[in-house]
Amino acid sequence: MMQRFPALAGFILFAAVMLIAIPLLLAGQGYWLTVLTTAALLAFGSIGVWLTFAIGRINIAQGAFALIGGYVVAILCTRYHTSFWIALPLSVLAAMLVATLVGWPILRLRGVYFAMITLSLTEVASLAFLNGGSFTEGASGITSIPRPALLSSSLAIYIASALLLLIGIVVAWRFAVSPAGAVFRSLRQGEELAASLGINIARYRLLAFIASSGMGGAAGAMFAAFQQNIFPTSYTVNDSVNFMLYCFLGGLQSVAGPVVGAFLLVIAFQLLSAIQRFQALLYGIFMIAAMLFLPNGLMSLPQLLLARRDRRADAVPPR
Amino acid sequence: MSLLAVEGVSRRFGGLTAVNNVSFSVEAGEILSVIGPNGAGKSTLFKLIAGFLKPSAGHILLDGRRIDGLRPHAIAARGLVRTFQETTVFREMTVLENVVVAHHLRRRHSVLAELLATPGVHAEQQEFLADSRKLLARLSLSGLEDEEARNLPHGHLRALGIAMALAVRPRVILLDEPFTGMNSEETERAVEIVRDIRAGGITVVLVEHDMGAVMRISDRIVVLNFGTLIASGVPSAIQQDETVIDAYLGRADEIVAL
Amino acid sequence: MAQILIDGCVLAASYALIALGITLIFSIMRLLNFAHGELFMIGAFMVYYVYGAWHLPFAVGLLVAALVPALIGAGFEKFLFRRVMRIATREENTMLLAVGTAILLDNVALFLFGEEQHGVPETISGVLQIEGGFLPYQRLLVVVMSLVLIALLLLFVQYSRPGRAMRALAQDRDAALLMGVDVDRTSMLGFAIGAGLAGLAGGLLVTIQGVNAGIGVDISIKAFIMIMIGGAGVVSGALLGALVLGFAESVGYALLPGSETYLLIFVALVLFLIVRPQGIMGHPWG
Repeated sequence: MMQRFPALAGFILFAAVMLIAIPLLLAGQGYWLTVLTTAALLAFGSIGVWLTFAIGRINIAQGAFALIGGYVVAILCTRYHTSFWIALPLSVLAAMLVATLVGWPILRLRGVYFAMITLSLTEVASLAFLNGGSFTEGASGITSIPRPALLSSSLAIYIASALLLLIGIVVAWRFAVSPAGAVFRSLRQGEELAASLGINIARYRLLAFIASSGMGGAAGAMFAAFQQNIFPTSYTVNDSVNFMLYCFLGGLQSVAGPVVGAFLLVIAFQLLSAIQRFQALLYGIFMIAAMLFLPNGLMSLPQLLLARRDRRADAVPPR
Repeated sequence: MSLLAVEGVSRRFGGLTAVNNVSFSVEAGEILSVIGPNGAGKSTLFKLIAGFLKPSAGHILLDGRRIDGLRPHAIAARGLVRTFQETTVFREMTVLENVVVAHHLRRRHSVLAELLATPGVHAEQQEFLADSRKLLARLSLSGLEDEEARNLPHGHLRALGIAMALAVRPRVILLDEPFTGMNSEETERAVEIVRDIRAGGITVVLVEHDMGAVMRISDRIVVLNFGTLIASGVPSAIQQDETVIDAYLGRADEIVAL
Repeated sequence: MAQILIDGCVLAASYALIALGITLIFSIMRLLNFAHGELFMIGAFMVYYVYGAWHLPFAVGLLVAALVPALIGAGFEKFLFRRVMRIATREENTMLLAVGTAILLDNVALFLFGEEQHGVPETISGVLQIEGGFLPYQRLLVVVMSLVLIALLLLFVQYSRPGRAMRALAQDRDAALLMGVDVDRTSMLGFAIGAGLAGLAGGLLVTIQGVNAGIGVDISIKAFIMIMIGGAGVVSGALLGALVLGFAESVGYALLPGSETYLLIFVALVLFLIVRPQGIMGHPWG
């Protein structure tokens, strides 16, 4: 119980920074608002991937769901002149529907097999939208997606994205501490044992996957409205992998992990843009270094440092 | 009517028949042991009853209703749970969390209510916590509540696994080799635990190699060899049964303390 | 029709090298080598530079195409994977490390070799005509060399001591340890050979398809497809997967425009995996 207070304080601080400090300080800075919007939306998508990690699956399909979400918004808003605020929930529903259809048979796979098949799904999505004929406009994608009502400025879009992220964090967090969250953890640590205790493992796995995909779809929908375009290549295997990376970098123990990971990497990446040529290279090196030295993610750093301090204290001979 | 009835159950894997037309029944309140040399099909039978495998032929009935073909969680909901030898517990959770999670089938609220942490949910959690503590006390694990399960020694892990199975409030519990890997002191404790389970009104079916414990604790014994049921009866009868002795002596790797 | 068969054979033979390489690594280390395509690409570039640009014999080019990726693979195993596999708490760690190595190689390659597409001149010119189909001698050479290399590998794995050690590790890690198999050295050798095979495949195929720094991901994905079809960690699976993919591609490209072929391949793959997740020859996993 006591452990929750630092977490709660941390969250309130984060919310204050996101919703108050940043709008005040960066109102005119279109570039940085864009970066932070991107970070917020990617963090949101990563929380989804975190949910699938929580049930013990390596999900490399989030890009596919972002693509679905983005295209639903793109097609509805450009061709059928639907309001974004109706297209957004529809895109989430579309992503969830696909997740249900596809997830049901594939979730019984685990480990590398599940990873490979979800990676294939990202490719399928890309190729499907590429070959969608006039419906998806193929390689040229859909452009000139109108800005949503109420979200015409960079600041407004940033605030909407930040709100979405905060809501996502709250829901995921509440979920993690609820009995249902314990069920998820049990799935990761022993599916057969969980089943023998009466847990409908197939249903819970699917629930996690659907929730994850919905979040991916929502992120994709927001990006489409924000960038005002979508292409079959908007989300590739690289992007699906990035979602995983943000989770890993931050740490999988809590919902803060993917958020920290996403913000850190997106901002760092932007700061490195001065060294444009080496950007992606440093990215790869960074990933390797993280795995070598911080296998449990950044959020495990405080624990690691404490443990090291304790070990050193032990090493000092007592007087 | 028997509580658990296995009727003509067979299970084939390709060309191999692991369980061959096995029939027996378990009466409410009894302790029944399934024994047999290595490879006799005991663990396959176990998995069939608990729903982890489907029979190639035959039925399994719990309280007169068929459970073969049902998935494990559905069978647990009907009142039959099992313990495991390897993944006995959820290693990264604390001992207390393990038992609380095992109360899953007794949850009465929707996921939404849980997310909103309604007073009803809170009261239910308190109830489960209290019940979990009682179960841990019953299995002599009280001091270890906040310990991470992976730090427990083997004997305690098995006890925790049993506590979790009991949290489901089953009618029948299938114990998977509850005495294996234990010294005589731990075996004594385990025997007491099994007797205590039965005293609580739960029927026990166990699969085991340790003959000493089996003979002491069972009301009835069922013997498998090469997937076929070769004998069943009370311990004293089984000890003298020719076919049983042959089955064990014929296998040089089995050391039997009959 | 004959052309489809010919093209299918060419593709299948060269893809088999790729599939065997990634299968070797997977079976020994239980690791999916995400950088496999990048190692292929590096092999291709080695032949481009040694044979294409510096005009040394093709054989020398192939040698370098095998050695450089092999050294990289050995290095990865020794300095990266060995450590992470020891300290990792979850299996995803090693997978992410593998992804990291792929990103690293992708970008190093981009940096060193630039973005352009490169090709090399033919090593043999001329075309064979078979039953109405054309088989350029260059492609025949690729097929023959691939088959020779496959045979050599299979013989090595079957009869040599290190090869037997690898098979032991693949089948039962604990038993292999008890038997005194040096896990570290065997893993390193296995990774090196697997990487070398990818490099050789690249070196051979560059004579037909050319190379650019971006093909790594695509080849990796093809490698994944093959082991998903055939079954991961099983040599027969790798060969079957290569056969299926090679012919699926040749049939598909003959009948359909470019990207539709792969869309169909992927959809068929997902449907197939739903029915048989372990692939044709694979053991149930997960």
